[in-house]
Amino acid sequence: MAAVCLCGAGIYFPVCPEVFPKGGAFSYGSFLWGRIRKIGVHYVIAVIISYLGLIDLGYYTFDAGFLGESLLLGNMIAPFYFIIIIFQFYILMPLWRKMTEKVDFWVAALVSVMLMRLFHGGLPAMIGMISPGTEFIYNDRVFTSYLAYWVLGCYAGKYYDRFLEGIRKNQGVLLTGFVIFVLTDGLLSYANNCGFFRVSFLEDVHTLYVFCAILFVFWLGKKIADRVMAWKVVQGIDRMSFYLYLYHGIFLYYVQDAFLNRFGVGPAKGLLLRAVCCYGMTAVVGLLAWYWKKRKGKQNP
Amino acid sequence: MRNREISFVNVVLCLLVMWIHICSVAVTGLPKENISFLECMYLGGCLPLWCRDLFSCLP
Repeated sequence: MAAVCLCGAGIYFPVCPEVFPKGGAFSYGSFLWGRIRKIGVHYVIAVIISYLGLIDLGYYTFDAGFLGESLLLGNMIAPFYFIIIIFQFYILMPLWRKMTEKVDFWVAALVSVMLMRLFHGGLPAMIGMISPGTEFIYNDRVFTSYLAYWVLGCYAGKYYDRFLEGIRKNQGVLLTGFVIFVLTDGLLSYANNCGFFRVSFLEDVHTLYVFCAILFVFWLGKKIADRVMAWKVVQGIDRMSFYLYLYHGIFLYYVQDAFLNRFGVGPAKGLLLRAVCCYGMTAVVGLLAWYWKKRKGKQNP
Repeated sequence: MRNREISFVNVVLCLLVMWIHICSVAVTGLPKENISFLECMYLGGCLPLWCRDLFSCLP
């Protein structure tokens, strides 16, 4: 969400230098304005373009009220609601700054995990108690459902070298944990969905898997990032990741509706063609971005 | 300049988010309750969510 990217995927950590400026005082107003300019404006444009695309494909007729609601809820196309969540974290940025300055990592980690668990399961019920009869269906758009990921990310970003060193020192434990939780989460999900037995703690297992998976990707990055990031196309994708994140949804709609459905392509071939089209488009955009940057670099040495 | 590991993670997550949507016929076709998007951004949700969708289709 990223961070995303990470936010797209990479926005989470790159935001840290702005949050903890070297030699300069943090300005909440400037920070928020910067986020609105760099992310919010692009998000609004992407929602409008996606809406026009979906109208063109026959999914909707224009309704300004629906567009406004979709902007606020981020539900026009699945990736958008990450922006809504991430902005809630941005609005609370002074809190996260204070937290990483004053609160010990382990205390913050424990409290954030407990709060995330509590709110993820209980927020609709809490709202129902305060306002009887209210059915709150947007729990997945509220920052509390992702609190621990953000909080741990803040500490990882602030103490990044120590974080990477920790991954290096504990790689055996990390890889073992990752494999165990991939298998556990997958098998329990299978059992749960097939009705073999009900797994009441599946969400907790999934959360543990997520933590292991995050660390695993960073471990992988530490191992191979130098080689992989030397490729032009990957550098370009990194540069354009936020835009790819925003627009691949409507692109896939067009691939499916205007191309695959029209020619009656079946599910298996359809999956392959969607992958080829989406990743092909990503590679082209990545290469163009790389050449654009190179050209700009030559013009402004 | 962005750190190389972060850039790498960024690219991996971007491609994985796409993969989740490629795997569904329509982007909004995935049931909302099965998607925690922030988790996906961290890679976390991808494989189990995909497995869940896959397994739910099995007899």
